[in-house]
Amino acid sequence: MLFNSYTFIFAFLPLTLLVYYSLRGAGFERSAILALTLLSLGFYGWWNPIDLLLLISLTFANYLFAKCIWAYRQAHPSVAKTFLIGGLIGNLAVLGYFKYANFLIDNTNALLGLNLFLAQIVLPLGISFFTFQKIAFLVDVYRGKVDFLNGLDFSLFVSFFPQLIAGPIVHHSEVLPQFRQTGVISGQIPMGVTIFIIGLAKKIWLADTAALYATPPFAAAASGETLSLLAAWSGALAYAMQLYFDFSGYSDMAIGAALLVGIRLPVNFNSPYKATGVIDFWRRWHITLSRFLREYLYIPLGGNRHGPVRRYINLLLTMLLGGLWHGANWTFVVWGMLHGVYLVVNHAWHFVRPRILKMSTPVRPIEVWIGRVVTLMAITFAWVFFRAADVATAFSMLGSMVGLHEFGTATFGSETFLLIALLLGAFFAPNTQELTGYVGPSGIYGEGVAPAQPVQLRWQPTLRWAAMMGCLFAFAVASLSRLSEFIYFQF
Amino acid sequence: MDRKRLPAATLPYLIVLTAVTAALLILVSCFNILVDPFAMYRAMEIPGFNISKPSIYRRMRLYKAFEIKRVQPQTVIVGSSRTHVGLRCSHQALSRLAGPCYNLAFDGATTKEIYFYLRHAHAIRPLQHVILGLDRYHATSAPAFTRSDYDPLLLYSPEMPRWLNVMTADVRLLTHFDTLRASIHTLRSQDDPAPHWFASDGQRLGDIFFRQVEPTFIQDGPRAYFDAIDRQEVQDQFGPIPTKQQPKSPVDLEESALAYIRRIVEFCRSQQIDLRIFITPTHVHQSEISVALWGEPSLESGKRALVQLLTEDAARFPDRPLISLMDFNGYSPITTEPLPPIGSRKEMRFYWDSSHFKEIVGDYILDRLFAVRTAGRPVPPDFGILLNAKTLDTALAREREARMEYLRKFPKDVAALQALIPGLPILVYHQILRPNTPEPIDDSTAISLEQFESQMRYLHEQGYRTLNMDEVVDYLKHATYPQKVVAIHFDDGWKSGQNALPILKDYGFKATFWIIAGAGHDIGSPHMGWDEILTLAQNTHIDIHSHTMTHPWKKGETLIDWVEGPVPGKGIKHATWELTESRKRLEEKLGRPVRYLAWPSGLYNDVLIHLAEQAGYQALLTIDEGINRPGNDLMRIHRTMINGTCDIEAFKQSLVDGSYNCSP
Repeated sequence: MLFNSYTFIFAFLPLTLLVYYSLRGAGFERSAILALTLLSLGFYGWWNPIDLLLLISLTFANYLFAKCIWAYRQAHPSVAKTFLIGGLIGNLAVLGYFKYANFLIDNTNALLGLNLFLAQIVLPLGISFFTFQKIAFLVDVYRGKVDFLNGLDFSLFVSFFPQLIAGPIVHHSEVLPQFRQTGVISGQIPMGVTIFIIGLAKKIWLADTAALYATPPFAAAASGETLSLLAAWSGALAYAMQLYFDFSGYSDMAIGAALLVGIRLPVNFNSPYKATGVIDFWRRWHITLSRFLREYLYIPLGGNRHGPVRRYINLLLTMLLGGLWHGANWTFVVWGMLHGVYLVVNHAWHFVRPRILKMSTPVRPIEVWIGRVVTLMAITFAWVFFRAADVATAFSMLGSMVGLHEFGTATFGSETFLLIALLLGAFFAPNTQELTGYVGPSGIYGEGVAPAQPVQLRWQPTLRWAAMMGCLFAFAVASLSRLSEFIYFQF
Repeated sequence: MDRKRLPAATLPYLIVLTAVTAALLILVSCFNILVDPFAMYRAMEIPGFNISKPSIYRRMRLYKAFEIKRVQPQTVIVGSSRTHVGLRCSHQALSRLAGPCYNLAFDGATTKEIYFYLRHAHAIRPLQHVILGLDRYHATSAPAFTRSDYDPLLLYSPEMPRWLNVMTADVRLLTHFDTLRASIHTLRSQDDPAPHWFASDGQRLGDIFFRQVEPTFIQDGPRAYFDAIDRQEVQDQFGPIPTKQQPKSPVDLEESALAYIRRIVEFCRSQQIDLRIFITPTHVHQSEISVALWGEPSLESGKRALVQLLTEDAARFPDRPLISLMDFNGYSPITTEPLPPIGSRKEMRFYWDSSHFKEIVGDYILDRLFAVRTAGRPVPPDFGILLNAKTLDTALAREREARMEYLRKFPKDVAALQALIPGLPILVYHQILRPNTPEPIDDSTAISLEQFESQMRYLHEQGYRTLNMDEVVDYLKHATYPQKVVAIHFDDGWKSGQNALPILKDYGFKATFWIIAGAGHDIGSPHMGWDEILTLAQNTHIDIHSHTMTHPWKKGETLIDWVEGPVPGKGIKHATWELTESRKRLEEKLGRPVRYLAWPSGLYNDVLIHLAEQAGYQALLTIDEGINRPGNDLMRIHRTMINGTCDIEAFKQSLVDGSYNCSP
């Protein structure tokens, strides 16, 4: 079930809270954790019960590997390392099979003119997310960064429903200690409810509306139409907005839902379109993925420790794999590659700007704004690959965006108005954590940091805010689903 | 939750939030109940306020789900829009029955939807009679599906507690933003109410719908509307061209459209409901479109499947009355009603368009289903045939005969329908020339590599699928290809024909080469040697067939001259040798069967066709221009010669009608 469904909001969530707090209230804190784990498994199985087998067996296998690494880590580091490598290969093999096997076969066939056949493999939900979490966990057990190992905690860490399907990619150091917290935790509920409602409203009102304007241009390009410059840009920008509000809305809902059971999840978005450069963008967009890629891919590859050339190669490689992680399609490879290039350019600029161009150190506001606009355009450009069904469609769309085809006529309808409003919102409006003062958990990435005090309209658990959130919630609930029409008189 | 453990602010915050949400939603609900845009309750209808309800016309499934709760019928009519338009509850056979009657048919209804709506109606009040109208797309083994506005949460089912249905149906709708929007729309449209084409018994009133609402019918007249629906039917049946390969998954037989008909039958049996099934009488045009597209006269296989299903049911319940299946779809005075002439604004007597029959036909159907006679309304003979295991074969045979008679009587209609089908163009190439080639050039057959490439690119961009000769024959015998199709041929075996191969490979295109099997002929020179032909034969996308031994072509010395006229030393015997020997020689060299022949210079006559058939050829190819369509003569397959003299526009035209002309 999706967070934005009747079933989740009116059945699963109330049931979960009732069971969880009843058990906690009666002093059975471990039982509450067990109940949470079982309910999370139920949440996952709702989509496709068969996938539960995979999730459970992977959890079990990973726990065994972790146990072995833990046991041999000090006495026999080489044995521990073997287990680590085995565990990594195992996880990646499962991910590879489910996510990339069809892609690989198709491309091998195309490349070598073969006709190998593999039945279409259905991707189990969330496998990309939980594979990363488990890899990080095994690596950290090996590195000695895990303090204790407990089967129940580990199971909940992997299956915890708010983050199971679409992240944030939670690091074990951030949540495992929270599973052991005692005392009253229900004080977090008002903020949790608030953040959940904000996320729900973002998803339903902003993302789904932007989608109305993003989908048609991409569909037209896919069917072979060439778009005008204006149509292509408005489609691409609308998609940039759709993706941001959709994903960040979903992350908000995850954070909100977790807070309802007293767990803090890491912040995943920090107004990414306010970024002044692509490096800055990746510190603000899907933050938990960036930090995973940095910690477990870029740095092990050598990071910036072997000179600028190796550093740039590492960057490109990291982003390319990061792109592929999003989906088994060449479009994602190109998207990742493009971002790799952006990052290299951005790093080069940081090198060139003070040394060669001799520009002054305090960056002037005009430069910041140029940076923002250029960054947003570059990112929107890359999103085209992210969204397009295939590389050819993306190129057709980008061709239109750089003016290879007609310019098109500007129309100022509700569409333009809405797009501009969303853009301004993404540029200027405070984000969820600025609005609520939400602080992420403390863990290996440091203490959760409260956002800089920005706004007079910061949320407080006051009755006035409760009333406003009630309105927002009512609006969101009234639009949870669409009542579709059907005009088909001829049959 | 333990209240004491909550901090002071938590509980008030949650209470206020919930209260505000609830208050807003209740407010919206009250407004929606008051206006009632989907006619869910009809509790209060005030002229000028909410009596006209424009929103129900686009949400028929929703509307009828609630109508059933109010009407509580014991007799229902189910089916698609044909049944929706054509059958009325006020027919004397139905009005005699106990309890209310309702026309629960809706547009585009699928068997799965019909099944769940029947269960819904039965859960509200036990049904006694069900009249089920079936169409072509119902009685198939294709996967069952539902339309986009089908909403299972609206429907009762025995397993679901009532209160939950009230939550998922009533509460969900009343608190819905779309309902709110529909309410506002309802309030605004009272001054200019649209014509009401819903009857209170659920029927769509054709008199109002077609004459007052349907714009094409009103503006262009009944005949033009009829033609427009024919065209649309072809498009709908032909379907969109798939852009990407769909993953092949086997059809689950328990989830086929037909399986839901079985469920309906079993359901009616188990609940002791009187079920009468009929096959809707579409105008013959619909059947002819199906024949032209799929090669199946009418719904033969569907009718067989239905009869089998009912035979199995009868075997299971030998003591109970049979479930009757009556076929109105055959060739009868009604279904073959002549169209008014083009340009005329006269309405037809029995049809609104080829799909929808008028109420008078619906009355005939009910007369037959309930075996009643009405004074002044005699049911035409041949209309309505009882189908069962005994009568099926005779009925189908008679139907095939009747079809032949129809084809004889209405050749213009049939030709017009055939012309709507895209068809299969076959393109013939000879020399494919690189720039500055030393080969002698014959302008009437040669084309530059560049032009050839651009033509192939066009085919690729347009999503054409290429057919080899076996597939061409399948196509003409009614195999179905859900895609635009074309065949690419190379005649004579010119050496330069090989220049096409890399381009064909790039696009994944298939092609057929027609090889002159003997030596010493002067056509196609320089021609490919046997080593080259054998290499070609290894390419799985290429098939090779016969173009005779020596390709006689000179004026006065053609194969026709041989069999007809006095050419010294040449006669039928020699022509036969050309045909049989070339086949034998090619089969020996290639080691695979050669089944098809292309006539040298496209010259043939009836004698030659006879000789070729005797020589074992299964299809013969001409260069008579034209598009091939399913059902065409395998012994006179049309092909179009392509050369380099015309531009791409002429080429595009050749794909449409098989002509390739341009003014130089």
